[in-house]
Amino acid sequence: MRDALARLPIPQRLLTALLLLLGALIAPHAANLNPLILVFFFSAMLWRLIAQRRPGIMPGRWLLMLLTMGALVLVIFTTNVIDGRLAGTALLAVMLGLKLLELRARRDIHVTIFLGYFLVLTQFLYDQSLWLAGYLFAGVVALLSLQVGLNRVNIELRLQLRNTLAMLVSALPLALVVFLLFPRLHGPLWGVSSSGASTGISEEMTLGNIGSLTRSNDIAFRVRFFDETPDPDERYWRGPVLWNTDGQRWSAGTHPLRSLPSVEGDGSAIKYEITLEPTGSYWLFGLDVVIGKPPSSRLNGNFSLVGDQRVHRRLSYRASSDPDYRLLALSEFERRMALQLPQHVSSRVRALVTEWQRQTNPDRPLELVRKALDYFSNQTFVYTLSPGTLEGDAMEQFLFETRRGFCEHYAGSFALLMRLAGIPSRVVVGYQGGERNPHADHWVVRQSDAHAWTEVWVPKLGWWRVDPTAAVAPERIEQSINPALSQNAGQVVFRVDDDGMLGGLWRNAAWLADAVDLGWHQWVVGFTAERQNNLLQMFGLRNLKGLGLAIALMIGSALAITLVYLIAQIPRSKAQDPLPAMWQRLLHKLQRAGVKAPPWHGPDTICHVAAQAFPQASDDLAAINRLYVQMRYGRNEDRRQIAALRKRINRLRLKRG
Amino acid sequence: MALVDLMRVEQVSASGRAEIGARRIYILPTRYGFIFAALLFLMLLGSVNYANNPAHLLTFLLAGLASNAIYLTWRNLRGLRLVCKGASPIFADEHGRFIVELEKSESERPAIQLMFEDSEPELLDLRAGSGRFSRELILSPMPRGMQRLGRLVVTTQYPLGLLRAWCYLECDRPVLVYPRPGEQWAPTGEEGEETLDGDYGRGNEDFVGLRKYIAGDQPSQIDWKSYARGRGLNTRMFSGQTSAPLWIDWQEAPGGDVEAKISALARAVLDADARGRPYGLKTPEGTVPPALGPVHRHHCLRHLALFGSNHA
Repeated sequence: MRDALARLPIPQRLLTALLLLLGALIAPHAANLNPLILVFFFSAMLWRLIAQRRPGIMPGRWLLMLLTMGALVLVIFTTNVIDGRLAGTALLAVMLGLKLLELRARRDIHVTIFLGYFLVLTQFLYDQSLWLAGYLFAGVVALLSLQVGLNRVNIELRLQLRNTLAMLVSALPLALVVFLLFPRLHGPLWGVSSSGASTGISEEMTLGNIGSLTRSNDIAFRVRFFDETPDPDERYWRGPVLWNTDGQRWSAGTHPLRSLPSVEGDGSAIKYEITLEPTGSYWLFGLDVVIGKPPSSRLNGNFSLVGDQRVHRRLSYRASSDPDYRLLALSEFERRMALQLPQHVSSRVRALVTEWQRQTNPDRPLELVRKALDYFSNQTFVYTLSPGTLEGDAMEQFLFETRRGFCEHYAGSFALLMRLAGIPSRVVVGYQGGERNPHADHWVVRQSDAHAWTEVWVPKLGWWRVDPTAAVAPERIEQSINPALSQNAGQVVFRVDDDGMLGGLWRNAAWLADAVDLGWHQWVVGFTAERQNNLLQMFGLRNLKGLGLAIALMIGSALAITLVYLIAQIPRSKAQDPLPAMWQRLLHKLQRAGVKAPPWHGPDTICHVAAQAFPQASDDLAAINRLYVQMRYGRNEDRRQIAALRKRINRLRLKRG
Repeated sequence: MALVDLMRVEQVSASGRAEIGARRIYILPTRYGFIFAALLFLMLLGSVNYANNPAHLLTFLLAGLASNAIYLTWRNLRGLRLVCKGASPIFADEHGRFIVELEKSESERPAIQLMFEDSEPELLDLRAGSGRFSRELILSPMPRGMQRLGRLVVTTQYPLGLLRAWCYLECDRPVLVYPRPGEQWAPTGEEGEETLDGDYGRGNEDFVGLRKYIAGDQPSQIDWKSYARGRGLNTRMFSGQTSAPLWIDWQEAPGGDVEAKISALARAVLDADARGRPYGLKTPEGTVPPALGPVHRHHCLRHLALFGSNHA
């Protein structure tokens, strides 16, 4: 069948808009693609833009072939072909550039718009943030309205944009239903290479590394509690547990514990969901101490959560914890590990511990713990982000001379003091605290909440959490650190919400953005098979898989399509021209008064006839006629008097005189 | 024929009006529709492979749009009311102009394509509003006779171009095609046989004056210049001898075969009409008595156009 649309000339303005739009859509790839690829694309785009004015410079067939070969060579030499994602994106970018150079007919524009949609998809493979998604969505709206414009004769941008938005809204129900019900695979279809540096807590503690982390305002993870929220002093987010030390460095130790010790609690579990920012490591965090682990992870012998895969992208998981836990068992091997000392411990430190041992009952190790904590709180210890450098015997210097330190100083030295006293102890790193987002029901834990604390082994009590930082700076447990202020002051400054109205507004906006961002992650980016299952369970569809899911998908889609169809069938009261409606109102009034106004009579005649029947109203009728004729047959600018006309028609009284 | 019977064709009423019914519309993907489907499949593969949910969402959104486009494309045709006005008679080898009027409705109907199965397509955006929008379809040249046009096909691809919806309209508005005029020739009696009794003002040679227009005067005799000057309608009077009617006779027409003769006769009719001399037509199928004027000319040409067909 002949297609007249395809034979229309290329709409030049539409093409210009498309070229610029494609440039805007490829721009975020500057972070991913080799600059040469982008240079190739933008040169092609510029070439085509200039060719809009001078069609003579469009490349011929041979030049185009040469360019194609050149582009392929460029892709092969600039891109690691093993990374399918990157190679594919680079190929798409150069292909799109080449397509622009051979764009001569209307049908080529169709294909170019299609490639534009694919380009948007490739952006998501690198960045799934809400902000980029918003930008790309605007791009899709623009692409779509260009596509609509391409399929009509006269292009009217404003009308098209409105139609496009209406189309998008009516496409949403189906898109959402399919999105929620489409089966999610657990692994990729083919190899997906991953990369990314490790950020956040690591399984090693050197003096200063947590302090440096604390200077970052970045979000470590967000938590949503399902029913009860733990108290501030229970908000310890457990990460790796460190056993080995040389006096300055603490590390996990070479013999990872495999067996899970027994745990005793009162059975009341706090249920929550964590959305972890990418870390590049296997560690997951959970409220101290996790008793219900999320799938695709395991609890190691230290009750630390370890994921099956490195966390390279945001990850949401659900877990449950019991804050009143008791980790009971302590094997002989563990006891030895928990008592190891560095090769050199200064005599001054030993003397201090011996003094404490003398003063306390050796059967009650908690007395000695108390002694040590008192030492930290009674002496002039300062909790600071800039403790200065420790030379020589770091331990001795810190405990007796500088007395300035951050949580790792206190946790490290406290654990060592306990070991010297014969009390098994270890260091736990993780996060402590968190801030509640007032606009959403979730908590935000930042890198500045990174923390280190200790656990000591007490018979019958088991591993007992002791946080020496709390002895030095009790406010640390209640409040979060304000990294921006702490950086300048050296002294740790806590977050206090007293920064005036403007600051309050800013903080509010930031919290709102945080809430939206988490929602985007939980409902879109992090919508995994597990979350899908949870959702289906809410509808009573337990364990829906394979065929069942396919049937649900079909029924859901059918419902969505029917819904949109039914809504589209509802007759809309259109925003009509008010003038004819007003005229109808006048005719209705006249008719009731007995004036005949057949449809073939114009306003002049009707008003004349009416004025004859009602001489008293003749002035009013003349005025109405003048206004109506003026606006109905005049220019649009004269429509200001529409209110006056309405008033006159409403006030018109027809009484037989 | 069975296939044609199965086809859903909208019948145009005797007055030429038709409304495209919801059940008469065909819809199939276009070439772009298939390309788009392939694109969606690729996008889905990418989304699934990289377990990328925003990509999933984008893919499903585009799929939703394509799915809705089925409805929107169909709706662009449904309920479209049009009037087939028909085409004025034309000569063979000429392009006829078939007039179709489309009725505007509350919502716009962009990119409506009108086409007879063997004519050039016409494309238009029908705006929202009231009233009608008229469009001429250029017909391809046809041989003489009463020519039936094929079905009128109304097509649209709006809004996304992924689908084509179309509807067949059977519209019974045949076009009369006059024979192609042949070479000039002179029928006998062209030069002379003038009657002697002159009839003032009824001749056709020398201008003698004007008189007031009387209904029925030929438009070619009206003095349009004086009308334009605001002097009302006047008819020009000519003196001279009233010509005896010229008989255009089949027997005299040059040419070997029937078609050649018909062409020659058509030429003679046109010439006689141009000269303003009353003429009559004689063919083996009948006689058109002598007269003058556009209606008479039409009768003669129609007689020739339908020569040899059942219509005569």
